[in-house]
Amino acid sequence: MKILVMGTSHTAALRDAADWIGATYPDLDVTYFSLPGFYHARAQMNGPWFGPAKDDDKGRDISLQMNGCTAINLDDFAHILHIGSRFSLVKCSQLMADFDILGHPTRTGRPLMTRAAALGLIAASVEQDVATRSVMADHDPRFTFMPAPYPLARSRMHGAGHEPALSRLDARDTAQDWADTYSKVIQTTLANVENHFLAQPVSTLAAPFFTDNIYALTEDTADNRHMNASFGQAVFAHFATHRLGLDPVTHITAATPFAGRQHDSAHPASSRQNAI
Amino acid sequence: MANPYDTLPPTAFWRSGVVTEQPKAVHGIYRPKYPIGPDSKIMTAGSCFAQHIHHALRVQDWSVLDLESPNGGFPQEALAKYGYGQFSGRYGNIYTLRQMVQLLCEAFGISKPSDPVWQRSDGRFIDAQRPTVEPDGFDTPDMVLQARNDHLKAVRQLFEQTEVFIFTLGGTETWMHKDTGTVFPTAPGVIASPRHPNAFRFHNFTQNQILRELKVLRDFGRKISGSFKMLLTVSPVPMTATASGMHILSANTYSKSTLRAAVGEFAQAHHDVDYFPSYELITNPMSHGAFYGDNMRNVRTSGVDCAMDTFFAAHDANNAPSKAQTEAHPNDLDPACEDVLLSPIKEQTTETGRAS
Repeated sequence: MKILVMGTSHTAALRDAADWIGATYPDLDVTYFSLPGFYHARAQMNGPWFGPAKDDDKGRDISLQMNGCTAINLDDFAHILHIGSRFSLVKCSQLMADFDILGHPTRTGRPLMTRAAALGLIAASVEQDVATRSVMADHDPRFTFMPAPYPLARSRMHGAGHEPALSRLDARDTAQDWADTYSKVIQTTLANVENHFLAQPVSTLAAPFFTDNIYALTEDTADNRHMNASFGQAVFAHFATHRLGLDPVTHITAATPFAGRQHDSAHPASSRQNAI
Repeated sequence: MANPYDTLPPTAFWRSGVVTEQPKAVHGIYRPKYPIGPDSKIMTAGSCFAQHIHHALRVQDWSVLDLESPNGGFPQEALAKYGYGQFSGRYGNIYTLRQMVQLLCEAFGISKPSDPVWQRSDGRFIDAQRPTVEPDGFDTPDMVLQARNDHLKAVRQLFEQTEVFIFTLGGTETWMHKDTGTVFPTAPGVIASPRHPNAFRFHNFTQNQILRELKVLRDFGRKISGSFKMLLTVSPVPMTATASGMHILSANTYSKSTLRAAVGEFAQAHHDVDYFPSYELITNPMSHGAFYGDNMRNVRTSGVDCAMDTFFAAHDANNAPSKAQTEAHPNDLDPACEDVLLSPIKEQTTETGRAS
């Protein structure tokens, strides 16, 4: 079965786990196609081909460097796992952090908003985000979207790479409820256009909206958004289990060398059930 | 012998001031008394047309205050659905000056309006002073009051920060609580009903009453801030319906003329009160109604641009008129107006009650 893993720079975590994925799922023929977020957002469909526009010389150069080609034919794949959309997380998390919800027992003195209004605004933003990908994925059930990974837990610390809104939200007892709600909104919105949603594996989370520091791509704390190969393994295993229905255990062959660091949570058997 | 008109400028004559002018750019119609700039802290409020003004100022990145909307650039249509981003506060349309003064008095703890919570036919509760900001309504009256208290805090902060208050007067007709004089933006039964609908009556403000409200508003603003200034406009959007007993055309003319006369008189009397002629620009006969949509009520984007281009050109020499035309209002020709809800009632009456 031919699988395409595509998306923004966050796809690199899966690309870095390619050897492990190949060894663990030998029946799958996995292709990777990624572009940095800026170029990904500007990329276009040309018939079944996805890639930087013909007049986007820089984007095409980058695509050649990263993918060995300037475009990918989506028709070739039975399933497409898209990684890296943010689904308006920044603005949504600001709203979640900076308003109290009318009727919720906890009051912090922040401005009040009804849950209906908050959900309406979040849903509208996610819809807007999904709509930007409609040319590529609208009503195409082959597409499964996993959002960009939540920032590393260390981004709660002040300094370079600090995530202020998510950190404010982390200090509130509503964070888990918002995380669940936000995931459901994305899932529903994608379902409306026949796309699938893959939540970030619970095993990779340190807290609602934060990824465990062990998945850091780099020790540089200025980059708290990009993850390593272990994270890529966990995500792909999650995808294979829930979207492809593959029993990962039967596919794991002898230990295979792979780039990056292996973590228990990369083993699907250790992954807790997640919404998909 | 020269007559008094010999030395007047072209703007003083109908032919040169109107007939030969482009209706999209009527020269000399707005000469500001005081400067307003991108950094002026502007508060907007009023009837539907004020939404266009607020939107145009925001698009131009002027310092229009908005203390209640969430940050981050949520879709404008979604914000508007919940009453955010339409004005500087989440107070919805404020059609009359009395309602504006009443809101400020409430925000500053001077008085409380009566019957603040009304109930819809579906059992949900609404804030009677801003009946559409929560389309789903509230579960309980207490929730309405909690949300209102929070809103009032924001209104108070907003008004305290305001340097220029742009208020668009919508109409003269209102519904008033008989005993307390509290006014409401909608009539009982249109969106929701108070507990005692018979306690309300129709009221049509006179010019003198409007002048009194203007004085209260100005005095209030100057008490909060010595540099408080007002820019008044009259909405060119005609009324949807009238309860005055007059024909709607006559009722609308009465309403707009009364407002225009009161505002003109008041602005002439005060150096810190100015009038912006959005009404004249949109209703200019030389536009042949082109600034109105098909229903001859909603103002087209071209009309809004005409008004706002005039405003920006007068206040910001570096701002080319076309810069105001950067983004259509999300509801383009149809800002949120509660009085539109009256239309179906009338149509139903026409269909069932009498031959049209």
